[in-house]
Amino acid sequence: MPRFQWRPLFIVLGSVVLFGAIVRSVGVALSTVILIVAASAASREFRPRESLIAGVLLAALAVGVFVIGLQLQLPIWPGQQ
Amino acid sequence: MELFSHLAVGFGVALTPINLLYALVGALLGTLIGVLPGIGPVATIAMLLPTTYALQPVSALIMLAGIYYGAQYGGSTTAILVNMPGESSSVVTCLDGYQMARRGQAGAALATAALGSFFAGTCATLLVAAVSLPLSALALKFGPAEYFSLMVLGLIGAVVLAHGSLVKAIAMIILGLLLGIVGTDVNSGVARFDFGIPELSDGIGVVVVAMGLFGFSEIILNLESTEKRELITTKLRGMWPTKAQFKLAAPAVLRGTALGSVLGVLPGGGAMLSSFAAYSLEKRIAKDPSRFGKGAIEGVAAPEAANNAGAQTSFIPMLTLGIPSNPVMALMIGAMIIQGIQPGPNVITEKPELFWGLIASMWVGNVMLLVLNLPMIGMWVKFLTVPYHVLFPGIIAVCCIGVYSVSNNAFDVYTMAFFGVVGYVLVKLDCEPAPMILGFVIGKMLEEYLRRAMLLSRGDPLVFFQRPISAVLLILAIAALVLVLIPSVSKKREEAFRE
Repeated sequence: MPRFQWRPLFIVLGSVVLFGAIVRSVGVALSTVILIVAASAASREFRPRESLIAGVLLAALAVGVFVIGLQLQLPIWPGQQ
Repeated sequence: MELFSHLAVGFGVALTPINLLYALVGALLGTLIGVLPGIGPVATIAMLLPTTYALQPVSALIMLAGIYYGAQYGGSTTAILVNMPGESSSVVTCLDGYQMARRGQAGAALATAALGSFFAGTCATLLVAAVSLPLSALALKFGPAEYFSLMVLGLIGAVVLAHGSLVKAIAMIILGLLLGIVGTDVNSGVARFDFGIPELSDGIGVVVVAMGLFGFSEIILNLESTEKRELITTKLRGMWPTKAQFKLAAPAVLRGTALGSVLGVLPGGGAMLSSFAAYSLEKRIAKDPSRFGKGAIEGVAAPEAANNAGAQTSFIPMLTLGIPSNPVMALMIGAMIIQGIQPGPNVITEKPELFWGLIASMWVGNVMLLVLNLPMIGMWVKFLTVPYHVLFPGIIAVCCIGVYSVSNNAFDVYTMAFFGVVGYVLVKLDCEPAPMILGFVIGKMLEEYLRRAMLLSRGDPLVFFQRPISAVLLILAIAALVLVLIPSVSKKREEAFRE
Protein backbone atom coordinates (compact mmCIF):
# COMPACT_ATOMS: atom_id res chain seq x y z
CA MET A 1 0.00 0.00 0.00
CA PRO A 2 1.21 3.53 -0.72
CA ARG A 3 2.01 5.80 2.20
CA PHE A 4 -0.51 8.49 2.90
CA GLN A 5 0.40 11.63 4.78
CA TRP A 6 -2.67 12.80 6.55
CA ARG A 7 -1.48 16.10 7.96
CA PRO A 8 -1.25 18.20 4.76
CA LEU A 9 -4.33 16.48 3.33
CA PHE A 10 -6.49 17.29 6.33
CA ILE A 11 -5.21 20.81 6.91
CA VAL A 12 -5.44 21.89 3.27
CA LEU A 13 -8.88 20.44 2.65
CA GLY A 14 -10.12 21.33 6.12
CA SER A 15 -9.26 24.96 5.56
CA VAL A 16 -11.08 24.86 2.20
CA VAL A 17 -14.20 23.43 3.83
CA LEU A 18 -13.93 26.06 6.57
CA PHE A 19 -13.81 28.76 3.89
CA GLY A 20 -16.93 27.34 2.27
CA ALA A 21 -18.72 27.30 5.61
CA ILE A 22 -18.00 30.88 6.64
CA VAL A 23 -17.69 32.85 3.38
CA ARG A 24 -21.38 33.63 3.10
CA SER A 25 -21.73 35.11 6.56
CA VAL A 26 -18.26 36.60 7.08
CA GLY A 27 -17.53 37.84 3.57
CA VAL A 28 -14.65 37.24 1.18
CA ALA A 29 -12.12 39.53 2.89
CA LEU A 30 -12.05 37.92 6.32
CA SER A 31 -12.60 34.37 5.16
CA THR A 32 -9.65 34.64 2.75
CA VAL A 33 -7.35 35.73 5.58
CA ILE A 34 -8.57 32.84 7.72
CA LEU A 35 -8.20 30.41 4.81
CA ILE A 36 -4.62 31.45 4.11
CA VAL A 37 -3.49 31.31 7.73
CA ALA A 38 -5.19 27.93 8.23
CA ALA A 39 -3.83 26.44 5.00
CA SER A 40 -0.30 27.67 5.74
CA ALA A 41 -0.25 25.41 8.78
CA ALA A 42 -0.03 22.46 6.39
CA SER A 43 3.57 23.35 5.59
CA ARG A 44 6.49 22.34 7.77
CA GLU A 45 7.71 25.92 7.57
CA PHE A 46 4.64 27.48 9.13
CA ARG A 47 5.22 30.94 10.60
CA PRO A 48 1.97 32.40 11.92
CA ARG A 49 2.88 36.08 11.68
CA GLU A 50 4.26 35.77 8.16
CA SER A 51 1.19 33.97 6.89
CA LEU A 52 -1.09 36.51 8.55
CA ILE A 53 0.63 39.29 6.60
CA ALA A 54 0.48 37.22 3.41
CA GLY A 55 -3.19 36.55 4.11
CA VAL A 56 -4.09 40.23 4.50
CA LEU A 57 -2.19 41.18 1.34
CA LEU A 58 -3.73 38.38 -0.70
CA ALA A 59 -7.21 39.08 0.59
CA ALA A 60 -6.87 42.71 -0.47
CA LEU A 61 -5.61 41.60 -3.87
CA ALA A 62 -8.41 39.05 -4.23
CA VAL A 63 -11.11 41.58 -3.37
CA GLY A 64 -9.49 44.02 -5.79
CA VAL A 65 -9.34 41.56 -8.67
CA PHE A 66 -12.53 39.56 -8.21
CA VAL A 67 -14.97 42.06 -6.76
CA ILE A 68 -13.76 45.41 -8.07
CA GLY A 69 -11.89 44.34 -11.22
CA LEU A 70 -14.18 41.59 -12.50
CA GLN A 71 -17.31 42.93 -10.78
CA LEU A 72 -18.36 39.56 -9.42
CA GLN A 73 -21.22 39.67 -6.96
CA LEU A 74 -19.55 38.58 -3.75
CA PRO A 75 -20.04 39.66 -0.16
CA ILE A 76 -16.87 41.43 1.02
CA TRP A 77 -17.62 42.18 4.66
CA PRO A 78 -19.67 40.37 7.35
CA GLY A 79 -23.41 40.76 7.20
CA GLN A 80 -23.74 41.63 3.53
CA GLN A 81 -25.75 38.55 2.71
CA MET B 1 -5.24 32.23 -51.08
CA GLU B 2 -8.22 31.78 -48.86
CA LEU B 3 -6.02 30.93 -45.92
CA PHE B 4 -4.33 34.32 -45.97
CA SER B 5 -7.56 36.25 -45.98
CA HIS B 6 -8.69 34.19 -43.00
CA LEU B 7 -5.43 34.89 -41.22
CA ALA B 8 -5.85 38.57 -42.01
CA VAL B 9 -9.21 38.49 -40.26
CA GLY B 10 -7.55 36.67 -37.38
CA PHE B 11 -4.76 39.20 -37.01
CA GLY B 12 -7.33 41.96 -37.17
CA VAL B 13 -8.91 40.46 -34.07
CA ALA B 14 -5.71 39.42 -32.31
CA LEU B 15 -4.03 42.80 -32.72
CA THR B 16 -6.75 44.89 -31.11
CA PRO B 17 -5.38 46.47 -27.92
CA ILE B 18 -7.66 44.52 -25.60
CA ASN B 19 -6.77 41.15 -27.14
CA LEU B 20 -3.08 42.03 -27.20
CA LEU B 21 -3.42 42.75 -23.50
CA TYR B 22 -5.04 39.39 -22.75
CA ALA B 23 -2.48 37.56 -24.90
CA LEU B 24 0.21 39.28 -22.82
CA VAL B 25 -1.53 38.39 -19.56
CA GLY B 26 -1.77 34.76 -20.72
CA ALA B 27 1.87 34.67 -21.82
CA LEU B 28 3.05 36.26 -18.56
CA LEU B 29 0.99 33.94 -16.39
CA GLY B 30 2.00 30.94 -18.48
CA THR B 31 5.69 31.76 -18.16
CA LEU B 32 5.29 32.36 -14.43
CA ILE B 33 3.59 29.07 -13.67
CA GLY B 34 5.92 27.37 -16.13
CA VAL B 35 8.92 28.63 -14.18
CA LEU B 36 7.41 27.74 -10.81
CA PRO B 37 7.50 24.03 -10.09
CA GLY B 38 4.44 22.65 -8.38
CA ILE B 39 1.77 24.44 -10.35
CA GLY B 40 0.82 23.40 -13.84
CA PRO B 41 -1.25 24.81 -16.69
CA VAL B 42 -4.30 22.64 -15.93
CA ALA B 43 -4.64 23.97 -12.40
CA THR B 44 -3.96 27.53 -13.52
CA ILE B 45 -6.49 27.46 -16.35
CA ALA B 46 -9.06 25.93 -14.00
CA MET B 47 -8.28 28.69 -11.49
CA LEU B 48 -8.81 31.41 -14.07
CA LEU B 49 -11.88 29.95 -15.76
CA PRO B 50 -14.28 31.66 -13.33
CA THR B 51 -12.70 35.03 -14.10
CA THR B 52 -13.41 34.64 -17.82
CA TYR B 53 -17.16 35.05 -17.33
CA ALA B 54 -16.67 38.78 -17.48
CA LEU B 55 -14.55 38.72 -20.65
CA GLN B 56 -15.35 38.61 -24.34
CA PRO B 57 -15.18 35.01 -25.63
CA VAL B 58 -12.17 35.71 -27.89
CA SER B 59 -10.23 37.45 -25.15
CA ALA B 60 -10.97 34.63 -22.70
CA LEU B 61 -9.75 31.93 -25.07
CA ILE B 62 -6.70 33.94 -26.11
CA MET B 63 -5.65 34.32 -22.48
CA LEU B 64 -6.24 30.68 -21.55
CA ALA B 65 -4.39 29.44 -24.65
CA GLY B 66 -1.47 31.73 -23.80
CA ILE B 67 -1.17 30.09 -20.40
CA TYR B 68 -0.75 26.65 -21.97
CA TYR B 69 1.93 27.45 -24.51
CA GLY B 70 3.51 30.06 -22.23
CA ALA B 71 4.07 27.31 -19.67
CA GLN B 72 6.11 25.41 -22.27
CA TYR B 73 8.52 28.33 -22.52
CA GLY B 74 8.76 28.89 -18.78
CA GLY B 75 9.21 25.23 -17.90
CA SER B 76 12.54 25.00 -19.68
CA THR B 77 14.07 27.83 -17.61
CA THR B 78 13.63 25.95 -14.34
CA ALA B 79 14.71 22.69 -15.93
CA ILE B 80 17.96 24.20 -17.17
CA LEU B 81 18.85 26.33 -14.15
CA VAL B 82 17.53 24.27 -11.25
CA ASN B 83 17.51 20.72 -12.64
CA MET B 84 13.87 20.51 -11.70
CA PRO B 85 11.04 20.44 -14.21
CA GLY B 86 9.00 23.63 -13.91
CA GLU B 87 6.46 21.80 -16.02
CA SER B 88 5.91 18.09 -16.58
CA SER B 89 6.70 18.60 -20.26
CA SER B 90 10.20 19.83 -19.37
CA VAL B 91 11.24 16.72 -17.47
CA VAL B 92 13.58 15.58 -20.23
CA THR B 93 15.05 19.05 -20.68
CA CYS B 94 16.61 18.67 -17.22
CA LEU B 95 18.81 15.81 -18.41
CA ASP B 96 20.98 17.79 -20.79
CA GLY B 97 19.94 21.35 -20.06
CA TYR B 98 21.19 21.27 -16.47
CA GLN B 99 24.44 19.66 -17.54
CA MET B 100 24.96 22.46 -20.05
CA ALA B 101 24.28 25.00 -17.30
CA ARG B 102 26.83 23.37 -15.00
CA ARG B 103 29.42 23.77 -17.71
CA GLY B 104 28.68 27.46 -17.96
CA GLN B 105 26.53 27.14 -21.06
CA ALA B 106 23.26 28.06 -19.38
CA GLY B 107 22.79 30.99 -21.74
CA ALA B 108 23.19 28.85 -24.82
CA ALA B 109 20.77 26.26 -23.46
CA LEU B 110 18.14 28.88 -22.59
CA ALA B 111 18.47 30.58 -25.97
CA THR B 112 18.21 27.27 -27.80
CA ALA B 113 15.10 26.35 -25.83
CA ALA B 114 13.41 29.70 -26.47
CA LEU B 115 14.34 29.95 -30.15
CA GLY B 116 13.44 26.31 -30.75
CA SER B 117 10.10 26.84 -29.05
CA PHE B 118 9.45 29.92 -31.13
CA PHE B 119 10.26 28.17 -34.41
CA ALA B 120 8.07 25.22 -33.42
CA GLY B 121 5.27 27.53 -32.31
CA THR B 122 5.30 29.38 -35.63
CA CYS B 123 5.22 26.18 -37.69
CA ALA B 124 2.53 24.62 -35.53
CA THR B 125 0.34 27.74 -35.71
CA LEU B 126 0.53 27.64 -39.51
CA LEU B 127 -0.30 23.95 -39.41
CA VAL B 128 -3.35 24.57 -37.21
CA ALA B 129 -4.53 27.25 -39.64
CA ALA B 130 -3.97 25.09 -42.72
CA VAL B 131 -5.50 21.89 -41.37
CA SER B 132 -8.53 23.40 -39.66
CA LEU B 133 -10.54 24.35 -42.74
CA PRO B 134 -10.51 20.98 -44.53
CA LEU B 135 -10.90 19.11 -41.24
CA SER B 136 -13.96 21.01 -40.12
CA ALA B 137 -15.42 20.68 -43.63
CA LEU B 138 -15.00 16.93 -43.24
CA ALA B 139 -16.43 17.04 -39.73
CA LEU B 140 -19.57 18.76 -40.99
CA LYS B 141 -20.37 15.54 -42.86
CA PHE B 142 -20.27 13.65 -39.57
CA GLY B 143 -23.52 12.34 -38.20
CA PRO B 144 -24.10 11.19 -34.63
CA ALA B 145 -22.69 7.73 -35.41
CA GLU B 146 -19.40 9.18 -36.68
CA TYR B 147 -19.10 11.45 -33.65
CA PHE B 148 -19.70 8.58 -31.29
CA SER B 149 -17.04 6.46 -32.98
CA LEU B 150 -14.62 9.36 -33.05
CA MET B 151 -15.04 9.89 -29.31
CA VAL B 152 -14.53 6.19 -28.66
CA LEU B 153 -11.34 6.35 -30.72
CA GLY B 154 -10.28 9.43 -28.78
CA LEU B 155 -10.84 7.77 -25.42
CA ILE B 156 -9.06 4.58 -26.48
CA GLY B 157 -6.19 6.72 -27.75
CA ALA B 158 -5.95 8.40 -24.37
CA VAL B 159 -5.78 4.98 -22.72
CA VAL B 160 -3.08 3.73 -25.07
CA LEU B 161 -0.92 6.79 -24.59
CA ALA B 162 -1.39 7.02 -20.82
CA HIS B 163 1.44 5.98 -18.53
CA GLY B 164 1.37 2.82 -16.54
CA SER B 165 -1.31 0.20 -16.30
CA LEU B 166 -3.86 -0.09 -19.11
CA VAL B 167 -6.52 -1.41 -16.78
CA LYS B 168 -6.11 1.60 -14.50
CA ALA B 169 -6.35 4.01 -17.43
CA ILE B 170 -9.55 2.35 -18.65
CA ALA B 171 -10.94 2.45 -15.12
CA MET B 172 -10.16 6.17 -14.96
CA ILE B 173 -11.95 6.82 -18.26
CA ILE B 174 -15.04 4.96 -17.11
CA LEU B 175 -15.04 6.76 -13.78
CA GLY B 176 -14.83 10.04 -15.70
CA LEU B 177 -17.67 9.05 -18.04
CA LEU B 178 -19.86 8.18 -15.07
CA LEU B 179 -19.09 11.45 -13.29
CA GLY B 180 -19.88 13.26 -16.52
CA ILE B 181 -23.45 12.02 -16.64
CA VAL B 182 -24.29 13.06 -13.09
CA GLY B 183 -27.32 15.34 -13.14
CA THR B 184 -30.59 15.66 -14.95
CA ASP B 185 -30.93 13.56 -18.09
CA VAL B 186 -31.69 15.91 -20.99
CA ASN B 187 -34.04 13.51 -22.73
CA SER B 188 -36.16 12.15 -19.93
CA GLY B 189 -35.64 14.73 -17.18
CA VAL B 190 -34.72 12.01 -14.71
CA ALA B 191 -32.09 12.97 -12.15
CA ARG B 192 -29.17 10.55 -12.21
CA PHE B 193 -26.56 9.83 -9.52
CA ASP B 194 -27.53 12.94 -7.59
CA PHE B 195 -28.18 11.23 -4.22
CA GLY B 196 -31.10 13.61 -3.79
CA ILE B 197 -28.76 16.60 -3.54
CA PRO B 198 -30.37 19.48 -5.44
CA GLU B 199 -26.98 21.07 -6.29
CA LEU B 200 -26.05 17.98 -8.29
CA SER B 201 -29.08 18.15 -10.57
CA ASP B 202 -27.17 20.43 -12.95
CA GLY B 203 -24.21 18.09 -12.98
CA ILE B 204 -20.72 18.74 -11.63
CA GLY B 205 -18.78 21.69 -13.05
CA VAL B 206 -15.59 20.97 -14.95
CA VAL B 207 -13.79 23.74 -13.04
CA VAL B 208 -14.60 22.15 -9.71
CA VAL B 209 -13.34 18.75 -10.81
CA ALA B 210 -10.21 20.08 -12.51
CA MET B 211 -9.19 22.25 -9.55
CA GLY B 212 -9.64 19.41 -7.11
CA LEU B 213 -7.97 16.75 -9.23
CA PHE B 214 -5.07 18.80 -10.52
CA GLY B 215 -4.74 21.80 -8.23
CA PHE B 216 -5.33 20.51 -4.72
CA SER B 217 -3.87 17.06 -5.04
CA GLU B 218 -0.74 18.64 -6.57
CA ILE B 219 -0.43 20.99 -3.59
CA ILE B 220 -0.87 18.23 -1.04
CA LEU B 221 1.69 16.04 -2.79
CA ASN B 222 4.16 18.92 -2.96
CA LEU B 223 3.75 19.52 0.77
CA GLU B 224 4.78 15.95 1.46
CA SER B 225 8.21 16.41 -0.02
CA THR B 226 10.62 18.90 1.47
CA GLU B 227 11.57 21.96 -0.52
CA LYS B 228 15.02 21.94 -2.00
CA ARG B 229 16.15 24.11 -4.83
CA GLU B 230 19.65 24.61 -6.05
CA LEU B 231 19.83 27.54 -8.36
CA ILE B 232 22.75 27.99 -10.67
CA THR B 233 23.52 31.58 -9.89
CA THR B 234 26.40 32.21 -12.27
CA LYS B 235 25.82 35.28 -14.35
CA LEU B 236 24.22 34.46 -17.64
CA ARG B 237 26.97 35.53 -19.95
CA GLY B 238 27.19 34.44 -23.57
CA MET B 239 23.52 34.05 -24.39
CA TRP B 240 24.13 32.78 -27.89
CA PRO B 241 25.01 29.26 -28.89
CA THR B 242 28.25 28.80 -30.84
CA LYS B 243 28.18 28.03 -34.55
CA ALA B 244 28.93 24.38 -33.93
CA GLN B 245 26.12 24.15 -31.37
CA PHE B 246 23.75 25.87 -33.75
CA LYS B 247 24.55 23.32 -36.45
CA LEU B 248 23.65 20.50 -34.06
CA ALA B 249 20.56 22.19 -32.67
CA ALA B 250 18.88 23.36 -35.88
CA PRO B 251 18.08 19.91 -37.34
CA ALA B 252 17.03 18.71 -33.87
CA VAL B 253 14.56 21.59 -33.66
CA LEU B 254 13.16 20.59 -37.05
CA ARG B 255 12.72 16.97 -36.00
CA GLY B 256 11.23 17.99 -32.66
CA THR B 257 8.77 20.32 -34.38
CA ALA B 258 7.63 17.63 -36.80
CA LEU B 259 7.27 14.97 -34.12
CA GLY B 260 5.55 17.31 -31.67
CA SER B 261 3.10 18.54 -34.30
CA VAL B 262 1.97 14.99 -35.02
CA LEU B 263 1.84 13.82 -31.39
CA GLY B 264 -0.03 16.91 -30.27
CA VAL B 265 -3.02 16.02 -32.40
CA LEU B 266 -3.33 12.52 -30.99
CA PRO B 267 -5.81 11.98 -28.18
CA GLY B 268 -3.94 11.78 -24.90
CA GLY B 269 -1.07 13.59 -26.57
CA GLY B 270 0.03 17.15 -26.16
CA ALA B 271 3.13 18.78 -24.79
CA MET B 272 4.40 16.13 -22.40
CA LEU B 273 4.26 13.12 -24.69
CA SER B 274 5.86 15.15 -27.48
CA SER B 275 8.88 16.13 -25.43
CA PHE B 276 9.54 12.57 -24.22
CA ALA B 277 9.24 11.16 -27.73
CA ALA B 278 11.50 13.85 -29.20
CA TYR B 279 14.22 13.17 -26.65
CA SER B 280 14.28 9.44 -27.26
CA LEU B 281 14.28 10.01 -31.03
CA GLU B 282 17.32 12.28 -30.75
CA LYS B 283 19.12 9.74 -28.60
CA ARG B 284 18.37 6.95 -31.03
CA ILE B 285 19.55 8.70 -34.18
CA ALA B 286 22.59 10.44 -32.65
CA LYS B 287 26.01 9.33 -33.91
CA ASP B 288 27.27 9.24 -30.35
CA PRO B 289 24.37 8.56 -27.96
CA SER B 290 26.70 8.62 -24.95
CA ARG B 291 26.82 12.43 -25.15
CA PHE B 292 23.21 12.55 -23.98
CA GLY B 293 22.81 13.27 -20.31
CA LYS B 294 26.12 15.09 -20.37
CA GLY B 295 25.03 18.33 -21.97
CA ALA B 296 24.07 17.49 -25.56
CA ILE B 297 22.40 20.53 -27.08
CA GLU B 298 20.06 18.37 -29.19
CA GLY B 299 18.65 17.05 -25.92
CA VAL B 300 17.46 20.57 -25.13
CA ALA B 301 16.52 21.73 -28.61
CA ALA B 302 14.35 18.82 -29.73
CA PRO B 303 12.12 18.31 -26.68
CA GLU B 304 11.60 22.04 -26.18
CA ALA B 305 10.56 22.47 -29.81
CA ALA B 306 8.39 19.38 -29.57
CA ASN B 307 6.50 20.40 -26.45
CA ASN B 308 5.58 23.77 -27.86
CA ALA B 309 4.55 22.28 -31.21
CA GLY B 310 2.49 19.65 -29.40
CA ALA B 311 0.85 22.21 -27.15
CA GLN B 312 -0.24 24.15 -30.20
CA THR B 313 -1.41 21.35 -32.48
CA SER B 314 -3.48 19.84 -29.67
CA PHE B 315 -5.86 22.70 -30.42
CA ILE B 316 -6.70 21.10 -33.78
CA PRO B 317 -9.14 18.41 -32.60
CA MET B 318 -10.62 20.79 -30.04
CA LEU B 319 -11.24 23.59 -32.52
CA THR B 320 -12.39 21.54 -35.50
CA LEU B 321 -14.20 18.62 -33.90
CA GLY B 322 -15.03 19.90 -30.45
CA ILE B 323 -13.21 16.94 -28.92
CA PRO B 324 -10.53 17.48 -26.25
CA SER B 325 -7.27 15.57 -26.63
CA ASN B 326 -5.87 16.43 -23.18
CA PRO B 327 -7.01 17.96 -19.89
CA VAL B 328 -6.09 21.50 -20.98
CA MET B 329 -8.29 21.17 -24.05
CA ALA B 330 -11.06 19.76 -21.87
CA LEU B 331 -10.93 23.02 -19.91
CA MET B 332 -10.85 25.09 -23.10
CA ILE B 333 -14.08 23.36 -24.11
CA GLY B 334 -15.43 24.20 -20.68
CA ALA B 335 -14.47 27.83 -21.26
CA MET B 336 -16.28 27.90 -24.62
CA ILE B 337 -19.42 26.40 -23.12
CA ILE B 338 -19.32 29.00 -20.31
CA GLN B 339 -19.34 31.63 -23.06
CA GLY B 340 -22.31 29.97 -24.75
CA ILE B 341 -20.34 28.60 -27.69
CA GLN B 342 -20.92 24.98 -28.65
CA PRO B 343 -17.50 23.64 -29.66
CA GLY B 344 -17.44 21.76 -32.93
CA PRO B 345 -16.98 22.15 -36.69
CA ASN B 346 -19.55 24.95 -36.81
CA VAL B 347 -17.38 27.35 -34.83
CA ILE B 348 -15.14 28.04 -37.83
CA THR B 349 -18.05 29.19 -40.02
CA GLU B 350 -20.31 30.72 -37.40
CA LYS B 351 -17.65 32.53 -35.42
CA PRO B 352 -14.77 33.10 -37.84
CA GLU B 353 -13.42 36.05 -35.87
CA LEU B 354 -13.18 33.90 -32.74
CA PHE B 355 -11.59 31.01 -34.56
CA TRP B 356 -9.01 32.89 -36.62
CA GLY B 357 -8.46 35.42 -33.86
CA LEU B 358 -7.43 32.64 -31.50
CA ILE B 359 -5.08 31.11 -34.08
CA ALA B 360 -3.49 34.45 -34.96
CA SER B 361 -3.07 35.22 -31.26
CA MET B 362 -1.04 32.04 -30.85
CA TRP B 363 1.62 33.45 -33.11
CA VAL B 364 1.41 36.87 -31.48
CA GLY B 365 1.73 35.16 -28.12
CA ASN B 366 4.82 33.27 -29.28
CA VAL B 367 6.49 36.53 -30.31
CA MET B 368 5.70 37.98 -26.88
CA LEU B 369 7.07 34.88 -25.19
CA LEU B 370 10.32 35.10 -27.10
CA VAL B 371 10.76 38.66 -25.84
CA LEU B 372 9.63 37.74 -22.33
CA ASN B 373 11.97 34.79 -22.09
CA LEU B 374 15.19 35.88 -23.72
CA PRO B 375 16.04 39.37 -22.48
CA MET B 376 13.98 39.14 -19.30
CA ILE B 377 15.12 35.77 -18.11
CA GLY B 378 16.68 37.23 -14.96
CA MET B 379 13.32 38.43 -13.73
CA TRP B 380 11.76 34.97 -14.02
CA VAL B 381 14.66 33.38 -12.21
CA LYS B 382 13.97 35.71 -9.28
CA PHE B 383 10.51 34.21 -8.94
CA LEU B 384 12.15 30.92 -8.13
CA THR B 385 13.28 32.40 -4.84
CA VAL B 386 9.65 32.64 -3.69
CA PRO B 387 9.35 29.69 -1.32
CA TYR B 388 6.53 27.22 -1.84
CA HIS B 389 5.15 27.68 1.68
CA VAL B 390 4.30 31.27 0.76
CA LEU B 391 2.95 30.34 -2.65
CA PHE B 392 0.56 27.48 -1.99
CA PRO B 393 -1.91 29.19 0.38
CA GLY B 394 -2.39 31.84 -2.30
CA ILE B 395 -3.17 29.22 -4.92
CA ILE B 396 -5.71 27.64 -2.59
CA ALA B 397 -7.31 31.02 -1.90
CA VAL B 398 -7.69 31.87 -5.60
CA CYS B 399 -9.25 28.44 -6.26
CA CYS B 400 -11.73 28.86 -3.41
CA ILE B 401 -12.80 32.40 -4.27
CA GLY B 402 -13.02 31.54 -7.97
CA VAL B 403 -15.19 28.51 -7.45
CA TYR B 404 -17.39 30.27 -4.94
CA SER B 405 -17.89 33.25 -7.24
CA VAL B 406 -19.27 31.10 -10.06
CA SER B 407 -22.42 30.06 -8.26
CA ASN B 408 -22.28 31.84 -4.90
CA ASN B 409 -22.77 28.42 -3.45
CA ALA B 410 -20.51 26.82 -0.84
CA PHE B 411 -21.49 23.39 -2.14
CA ASP B 412 -19.09 23.82 -5.07
CA VAL B 413 -16.26 24.58 -2.64
CA TYR B 414 -16.97 21.35 -0.75
CA THR B 415 -17.15 19.39 -3.99
CA MET B 416 -13.79 20.79 -4.98
CA ALA B 417 -12.31 19.66 -1.66
CA PHE B 418 -13.83 16.23 -2.25
CA PHE B 419 -12.14 15.96 -5.64
CA GLY B 420 -8.93 17.06 -3.97
CA VAL B 421 -9.10 13.90 -1.85
CA VAL B 422 -10.01 11.84 -4.92
CA GLY B 423 -7.08 13.23 -6.89
CA TYR B 424 -4.65 12.62 -4.04
CA VAL B 425 -5.75 9.04 -3.53
CA LEU B 426 -5.64 8.37 -7.29
CA VAL B 427 -2.08 9.63 -7.62
CA LYS B 428 -1.07 7.51 -4.61
CA LEU B 429 -2.60 4.49 -6.34
CA ASP B 430 -0.69 5.27 -9.58
CA CYS B 431 -3.89 6.14 -11.43
CA GLU B 432 -3.50 9.07 -13.78
CA PRO B 433 -6.21 11.70 -13.43
CA ALA B 434 -5.79 12.91 -17.05
CA PRO B 435 -7.90 10.19 -18.73
CA MET B 436 -10.54 10.74 -16.06
CA ILE B 437 -11.06 14.40 -16.89
CA LEU B 438 -11.23 13.54 -20.60
CA GLY B 439 -13.92 10.97 -19.86
CA PHE B 440 -15.68 13.50 -17.65
CA VAL B 441 -15.90 16.14 -20.39
CA ILE B 442 -16.72 13.68 -23.16
CA GLY B 443 -19.23 11.67 -21.09
CA LYS B 444 -22.35 13.73 -21.79
CA MET B 445 -21.51 14.26 -25.47
CA LEU B 446 -20.76 10.58 -25.95
CA GLU B 447 -24.08 9.59 -24.48
CA GLU B 448 -25.96 12.19 -26.50
CA TYR B 449 -24.44 11.03 -29.82
CA LEU B 450 -24.96 7.38 -28.95
CA ARG B 451 -28.63 8.03 -28.31
CA ARG B 452 -29.11 10.08 -31.45
CA ALA B 453 -27.37 7.49 -33.60
CA MET B 454 -29.49 4.72 -32.13
CA LEU B 455 -32.64 6.78 -32.62
CA LEU B 456 -31.83 7.34 -36.29
CA SER B 457 -31.09 3.66 -36.83
CA ARG B 458 -34.22 2.63 -34.93
CA GLY B 459 -32.22 0.87 -32.27
CA ASP B 460 -29.87 -1.05 -34.53
CA PRO B 461 -26.34 -0.94 -33.06
CA LEU B 462 -24.87 -2.14 -36.37
CA VAL B 463 -25.21 1.43 -37.66
CA PHE B 464 -21.76 2.18 -36.24
CA PHE B 465 -20.25 -0.35 -38.62
CA GLN B 466 -22.50 0.32 -41.60
CA ARG B 467 -21.45 3.92 -42.05
CA PRO B 468 -17.97 3.86 -43.59
CA ILE B 469 -16.27 6.69 -41.65
CA SER B 470 -17.67 5.43 -38.37
CA ALA B 471 -16.59 1.87 -39.17
CA VAL B 472 -13.02 2.98 -39.96
CA LEU B 473 -12.80 4.97 -36.72
CA LEU B 474 -14.05 2.06 -34.63
CA ILE B 475 -11.70 -0.39 -36.36
CA LEU B 476 -8.81 1.98 -35.63
CA ALA B 477 -9.88 2.08 -31.98
CA ILE B 478 -10.04 -1.72 -31.76
CA ALA B 479 -6.71 -2.05 -33.58
CA ALA B 480 -5.04 0.39 -31.16
CA LEU B 481 -6.35 -1.54 -28.19
CA VAL B 482 -5.35 -4.95 -29.59
CA LEU B 483 -1.93 -3.60 -30.50
CA VAL B 484 -1.03 -2.57 -26.96
CA LEU B 485 -2.31 -5.86 -25.60
CA ILE B 486 0.21 -7.81 -27.70
CA PRO B 487 2.94 -8.70 -25.16
CA SER B 488 5.95 -7.51 -27.20
CA VAL B 489 4.34 -4.17 -27.96
CA SER B 490 3.24 -3.61 -24.38
CA LYS B 491 6.79 -4.24 -23.22
CA LYS B 492 8.03 -1.60 -25.66
CA ARG B 493 5.37 0.79 -24.39
CA GLU B 494 6.57 0.36 -20.83
CA GLU B 495 10.15 0.99 -21.90
CA ALA B 496 9.17 4.09 -23.81
CA PHE B 497 7.48 5.61 -20.78
CA ARG B 498 10.26 4.72 -18.38
CA GLU B 499 12.76 6.75 -20.34
